Amino acid sequence: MIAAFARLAARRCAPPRTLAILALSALALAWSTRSSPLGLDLGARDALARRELWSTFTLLSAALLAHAAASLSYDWRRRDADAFGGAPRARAAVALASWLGAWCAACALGVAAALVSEARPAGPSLAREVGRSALAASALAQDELRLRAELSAPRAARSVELELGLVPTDVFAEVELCARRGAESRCVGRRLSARSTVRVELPPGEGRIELTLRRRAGGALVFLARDQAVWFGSAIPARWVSALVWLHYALALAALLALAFALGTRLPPVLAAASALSLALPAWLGEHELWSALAPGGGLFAALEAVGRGAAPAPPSAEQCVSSLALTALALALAARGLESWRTTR
Amino acid sequence: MARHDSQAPALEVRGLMQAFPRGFWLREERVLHGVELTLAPGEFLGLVGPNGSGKSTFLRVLAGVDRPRAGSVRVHGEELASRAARARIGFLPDDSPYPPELGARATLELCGAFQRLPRAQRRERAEHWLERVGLAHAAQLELAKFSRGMLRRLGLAAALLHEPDLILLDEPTAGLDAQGFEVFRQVLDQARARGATLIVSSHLLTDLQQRCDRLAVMLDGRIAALGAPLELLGELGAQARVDLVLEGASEAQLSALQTHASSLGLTVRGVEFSQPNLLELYRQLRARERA
Repeated sequence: MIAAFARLAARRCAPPRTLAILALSALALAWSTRSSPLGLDLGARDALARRELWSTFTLLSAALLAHAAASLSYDWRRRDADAFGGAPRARAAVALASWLGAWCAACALGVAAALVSEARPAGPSLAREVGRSALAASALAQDELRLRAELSAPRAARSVELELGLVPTDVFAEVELCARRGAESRCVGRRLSARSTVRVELPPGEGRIELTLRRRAGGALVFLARDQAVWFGSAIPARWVSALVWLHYALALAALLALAFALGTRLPPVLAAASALSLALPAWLGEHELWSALAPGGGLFAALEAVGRGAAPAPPSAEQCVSSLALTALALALAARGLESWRTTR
Repeated sequence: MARHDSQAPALEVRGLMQAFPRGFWLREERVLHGVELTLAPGEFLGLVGPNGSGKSTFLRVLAGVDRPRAGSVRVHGEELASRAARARIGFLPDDSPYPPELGARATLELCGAFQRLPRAQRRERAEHWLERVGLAHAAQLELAKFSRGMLRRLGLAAALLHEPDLILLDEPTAGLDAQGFEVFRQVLDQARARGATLIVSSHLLTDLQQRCDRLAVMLDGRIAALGAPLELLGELGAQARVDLVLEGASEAQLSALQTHASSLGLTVRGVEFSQPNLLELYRQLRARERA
């Protein structure tokens, strides 16, 4: 590995103009989320501000850094190869150093985003998402008991949350969500006047959980807005939320930057960056469960969605780590080959 | 470095071919056509040729920057593809392609890193060469702010940083001022003194004529002529024009000179020295090839 070349790559990927664009964007977001015209409470406002900052930062930095990574290949083809290409270093070392520099720049920018995101008074602790279970999508709580589901809870789960929708045949509906495990049960009641989430603590112990949802009062129809029950573990300090998002971000950018760099050995930087983003964005934003679970960066926007709901996201899964590493390694192998042969075998 | 295998030539090039894709259909266009060359250790080869004759491509292939399509290159008996061979080569490319974001010292240290020099040695040699080529005062300055001459000096330092045995310099004097020329001459003399082999490409014959052991003329991707400079230039024969510039000669002496020249069938026409005409040499070689 050529550490000095990695430092140069990092410097090329985060030049002052990129830093200025990101700083301006962070300032604009910080200003726009100072007050809440909707009258949201502090926790909800905090969660939305955090999600907005990370979403904007992710998309903006991904585009800028993908272009910068693709430009590293272009710089090599145009200039660096003549200066350093004859030295006794394998092209694989050049590719690795370039990618590592770009990725370190991305990680450092991510740390800056996390610091900006958490530079406000600490909010309450947030429960950490530990898993999801499928539910029947057609369940409806109209009068009495309308939903009963028996689910297998993850070992670390401490509470479960349902997202409910409302058909406004009346101004409100009062619902009760109960979780029963063996002889013990926990219930929580909520008055709903719009789509919202209801979370109930799980009774202690192990074994399957029986969920029941019933409408106790009000005329509005309540339905399951999401066909999933979300499990939450123990709470973590709110400031750690950005650290978890950063893990997803770093993993997603690792594969994206390697891809952009590899494509840059064959295409002009703008085309290479656009191609890499067109491959990455469907994986990041797509709703397909398997794709989101396996694709590099597939968990990033699911994590941001959890942040927006006021929860701490689950850390990246082992599958996501493996797929990101595999794609990164493959892209770097292609990049090394591209750097080796760009002037002779096209 | 100068660890020569006395049996092996410093450079052995056999049947070297290079081609690049051109145009919409990426049709291959040959740039080098079976170049053959052998250099003894410590030899100094001057490489001349008109624009587009393949000099820079030839040097890039010899430096290991580009892989050739066919043929072989051996440096002191080792295949060019090997790390050991590449570590013995120093290359100054023709357009100073060094990172404009870096300072001079950082660039030399980066070159040292690519040459696998230990960190301490990189620093020490970077300092030494900055001093040597007269850039110590600009060690921290970004290369984007360097003049062309300063970049050539830096390139010279980068090419010689690891004390290579085979030094390839592409247009080293382009953009150099008088002081730069002096530095260049000193550095070359020093490299020759430690036994390094040199190939220097230039459009200025005066750069090469007095220093190189042999002169190679490249035309259309081939070495069209190879030999001692005076031998090659002697091939110009009757077409050669020599202007003698004499200082402090009396009229009587000049008159005697003219008489002597006339007796030899020559005419003395001017008082300034003009360098041998390369263009004329190229033209003659082309005509000979066609014939």
